[in-house]
Amino acid sequence: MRISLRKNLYLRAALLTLILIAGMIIAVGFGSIKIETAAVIDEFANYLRGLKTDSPNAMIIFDIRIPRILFAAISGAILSLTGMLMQTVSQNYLADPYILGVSSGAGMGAVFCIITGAAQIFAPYGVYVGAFFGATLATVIVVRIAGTSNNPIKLVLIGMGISALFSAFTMLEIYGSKNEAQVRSAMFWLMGSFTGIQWAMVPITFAVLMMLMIFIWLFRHELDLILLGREEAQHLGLSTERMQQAVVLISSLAIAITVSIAGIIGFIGLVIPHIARFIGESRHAVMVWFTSLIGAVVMVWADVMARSMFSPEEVPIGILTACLGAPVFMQIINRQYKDS
Amino acid sequence: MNIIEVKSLSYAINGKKILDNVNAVFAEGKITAIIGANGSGKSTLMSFLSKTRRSANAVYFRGQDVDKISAEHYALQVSVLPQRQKMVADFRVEDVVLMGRFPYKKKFRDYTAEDRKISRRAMESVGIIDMAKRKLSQMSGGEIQRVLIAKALAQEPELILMDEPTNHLDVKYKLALMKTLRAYGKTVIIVLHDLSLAIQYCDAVVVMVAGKVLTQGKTAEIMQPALLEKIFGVPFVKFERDGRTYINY
Repeated sequence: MRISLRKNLYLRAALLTLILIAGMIIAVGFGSIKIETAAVIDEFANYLRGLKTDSPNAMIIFDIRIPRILFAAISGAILSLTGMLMQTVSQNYLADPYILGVSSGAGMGAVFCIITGAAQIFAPYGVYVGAFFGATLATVIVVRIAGTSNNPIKLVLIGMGISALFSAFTMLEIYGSKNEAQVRSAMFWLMGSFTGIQWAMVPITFAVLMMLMIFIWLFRHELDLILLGREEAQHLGLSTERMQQAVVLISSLAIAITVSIAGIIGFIGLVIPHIARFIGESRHAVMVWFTSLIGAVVMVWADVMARSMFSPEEVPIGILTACLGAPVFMQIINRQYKDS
Repeated sequence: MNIIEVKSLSYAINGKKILDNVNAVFAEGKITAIIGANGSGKSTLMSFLSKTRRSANAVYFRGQDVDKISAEHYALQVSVLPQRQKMVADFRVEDVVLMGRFPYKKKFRDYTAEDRKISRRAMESVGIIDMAKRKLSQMSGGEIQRVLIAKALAQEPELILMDEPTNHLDVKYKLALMKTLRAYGKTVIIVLHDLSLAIQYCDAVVVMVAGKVLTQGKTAEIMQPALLEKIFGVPFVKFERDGRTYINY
């Protein structure tokens, strides 16, 4: 039997998984201190044999690089899946948490909580709570203003407005703050970064990713229907409104967690679902795997670039994804929305 | 027996009457055409029949107020082919047709082998079985229309509502569609612009003018040149050839 990559979805998914795992191992070597892949594999082998080493390499690998790479992969998958959900619910392939202003909303909420001290009420999850309210607020505003408009550009423009507004609020909050220690840095909340990712942050993001994937898997057929058309879905007996509310809630939560930890990272949620549809197919049962795998692969490599382009200096990941993603965004608009 | 009855249905947007005291009955097992000039309220009437708009005790499906029937339950009996909207999704043909089985599907489960069998049959009946693996983006407007018609048939409804389904279709497929609907044997309510199709394939006609039902009844009685001229404002001729009736302007 001849196995064809073109026909076999499982094979393509397996190949992507392999690329992801290999990429994550190779990525361990990159950074301000370069560690050869052979040395990385040595350290892994030692670890697996139970030999503890206190070499500087081991410390860099196990305490800094691995949690960071895991976080990059997980957050890449989360951002991509959230973008996919937003594109489905709005039936608009230009939707993305960054473009619709949801990430800015989360950033504003987080900063607000830190500066007003409200974060202490819900400690240690105060920042997450603030980000969640900000993200939900932004999403609700987008949905309210855009209504049932099926003009894809209108939704994007409203999102831009919301993004501008919330970014301005964030800067105002930071600017007005007397206590600089409360604010990590203005740039962090406007442009994301993976600096300072620790092991403790990995489980919570992984839980969010699992929640997203299970949600999409359970409702894969409902999401297919909505993507086909809201009216069509209603005629087939689906309550599209309830589905939309569930998506708003779950994507706000996902964005809140990633923005709280890594700041605003744009365009991943926009671009990755397009690639996933191209390599996989449009059904959500397939999209959930391809979107998360490709999102993880791209983010791991984007992070490698961010760490090594101007080594030992580091480029914030948000700037890098914007540099790569913005031209793709413009290209999508140019190709899909020709003047009639 | 009537499958749907509309009783004194009125509807206005910003004070402008779109539907004005509409009364109409649709007989079970028959194909009924709704005809009328643009803006006469045909599509709006369809939106009430399809439960897209709440009817406030004016539309009855088998004697039951449609507002009191849940969307899930209605979908088991009524399939709707709305006027074509723009579509972003790039599904495969077989996946779209399979979605017609959604009302029958158990929550969180996949479509069953039975569902796949039924949707294959639907694809065969509209002649798209060879295109089953193709993606919508590789298809013409008329082909997509046939996919959506297959989806409506896969729903195995008692009643099919179609708003100008022949719009994107070539003559060949227009005729094929009407034949398929006849062969399906259940109730069909169809908005038609093509009066020749109405006269050849429909059992009954509802004529709408300015938000009102001007008249309704058996096709042969209603489709008279004098009446059509009054509705559309141009002269019509009706003629018979080889035992079939044609109407032209």
